[in-house]
Amino acid sequence: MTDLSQWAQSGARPGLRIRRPAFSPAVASGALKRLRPLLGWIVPAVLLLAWWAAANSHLVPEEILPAPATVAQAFSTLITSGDLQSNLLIALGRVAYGFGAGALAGLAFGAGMAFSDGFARFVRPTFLIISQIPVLAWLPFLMLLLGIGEALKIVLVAKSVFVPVALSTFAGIRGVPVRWLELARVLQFGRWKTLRRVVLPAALPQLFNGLRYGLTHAWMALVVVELLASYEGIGYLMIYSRQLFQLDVMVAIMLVIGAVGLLFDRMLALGEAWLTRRYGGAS
Amino acid sequence: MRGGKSFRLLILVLLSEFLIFSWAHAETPPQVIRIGVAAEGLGGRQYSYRLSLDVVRAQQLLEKEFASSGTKIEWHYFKAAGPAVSEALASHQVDFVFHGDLPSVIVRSTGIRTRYLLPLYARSNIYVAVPIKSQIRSVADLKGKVVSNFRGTATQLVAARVLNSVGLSERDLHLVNLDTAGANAALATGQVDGAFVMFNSFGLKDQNLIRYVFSSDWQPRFSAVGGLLVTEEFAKEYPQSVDRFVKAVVQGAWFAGKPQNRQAVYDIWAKSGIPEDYFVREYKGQDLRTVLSPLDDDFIVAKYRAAAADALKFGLVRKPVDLNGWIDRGPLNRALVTLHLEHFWTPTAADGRPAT
Repeated sequence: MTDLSQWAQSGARPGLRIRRPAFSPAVASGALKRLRPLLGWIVPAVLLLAWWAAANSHLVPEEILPAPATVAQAFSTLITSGDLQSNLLIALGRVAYGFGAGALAGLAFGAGMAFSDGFARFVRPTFLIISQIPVLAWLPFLMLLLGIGEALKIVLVAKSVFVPVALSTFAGIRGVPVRWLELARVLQFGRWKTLRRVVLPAALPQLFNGLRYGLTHAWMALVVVELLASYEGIGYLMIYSRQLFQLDVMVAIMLVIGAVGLLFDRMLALGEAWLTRRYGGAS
Repeated sequence: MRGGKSFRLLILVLLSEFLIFSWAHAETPPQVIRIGVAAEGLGGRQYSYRLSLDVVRAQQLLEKEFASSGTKIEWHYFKAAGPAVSEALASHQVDFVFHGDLPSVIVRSTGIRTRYLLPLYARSNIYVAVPIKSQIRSVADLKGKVVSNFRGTATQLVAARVLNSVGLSERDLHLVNLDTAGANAALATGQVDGAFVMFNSFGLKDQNLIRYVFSSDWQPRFSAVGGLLVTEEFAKEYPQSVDRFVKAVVQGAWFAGKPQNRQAVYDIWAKSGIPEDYFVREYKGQDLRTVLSPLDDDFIVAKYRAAAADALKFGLVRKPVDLNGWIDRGPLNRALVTLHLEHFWTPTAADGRPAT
């Protein structure tokens, strides 16, 4: 099992989750401390400035890089016409279903592999093969099987969530320190109490790692599917603007896609913080 | 002797003047000419079909024309068709392109600087196909249905016109963006309720998988056109190469327009993987001289004006597109004179009938 668990650990991408900022309190004091939340916005601000400068000086022609003001204009037109809201809503609905199904299946599957060696041995090759095939490679086959309707989108989103969630659930539960379990045994915790008081708190950070990674994947997978086979949704809106060479609209939608992804991640971070407070973190 | 001396001096001056003049005007031909074609053959074959340009490629007319100057001819075929070729134009990846009318108008609207040289096809046909068991009987029945169309290509505009003719717009349908191959597959498996297709879907009809509820039957008002564009950059630097390029294309259209070469043209088009039989059926009763006429006549001008107007009307461009000064007839007219072909083609009036 070691190979799978190692792979699971690496698959869960610890880097995605920033646990503790690497600033020593001594350095980050006073005014600097208050500015800390703004640190992450320095690079976007510089990029925006560079974008504005490049477009303004016509260093990059308008037909390749539309100016920020043009993109802002396109954005407001998208809002006024209602195109953005309606397509975003459709996309969010697909993510909700796909993420819900994929996360539940991933949690159950990962837990099953972690708790039962027999089950893990039984499903491991199948799981590895399925997880190695990227969303784009599934698409042609699933299009034949499911058509190009909602089922296709939801299944592909669910698949892209399922794999990281299953892997981190497995790794999280397997990673519960043996000493804690021994302690639980000494304290004569029952099965349910061990799960709730020991395993869950210990595995929670890893679980959330998987969920956050899964949600990012879900959003990306959805955009890819909508790009290829769709008549509505945010990816469709983007490919439509590309086909008509409306680069300002395309860039506006790219920014919306990024912003929604960021929002998802923030939401799950808040959810994790809340759950950790409620069940007690243990990392 | 005095007069003879000055005469000789005059001759010398004139001669040197002539040498300087011709040296200054003989451009150094480019090392490479990159051609972008907004089409692809079946299964990724690097051949297109239904264009006079295909004859040029098959007979290596450009390669022969530019052999003396050592210019390399590069052919690039774009599966993603018009939109991809526009991107290639924007990023300076191509010098000459074959573009349909809608993408040409879109390119013009973005400020990418090009010149229009001549049409590479002047007539086309469109079909609305539905799965064989479908209840759909007419274009009007498509309302509210999932219909496939190739977005951003000339077909999108024609489809919008077909819908408009029965009082529908794109918004009344669920339009799925699929390329030609994708549309045929989606139709065959019943994943879409209908599709705007071309004659390359004949195979599905033969297999009894689809039927047509609409055919434009070569009506000029539903016809798309497509032509040869050159980048302003290239045209300014290599005007003589543009002339030579256009001459080779006119030669191709000339070959294709001769009745005895009909079969040879189909053979060339069949390199794209589309069965020859489809061409025989599609072009039955049509004169390839008209279909592949290279003239920038009233019909062509009217077609591009209509494309610009309709693109605006159907919301495919956001502001009026000015076509003035875009069509450059110089290279075509010079080629017609050089090849003595001024009278081979009959100009067509704006309504599609022969001009009188």
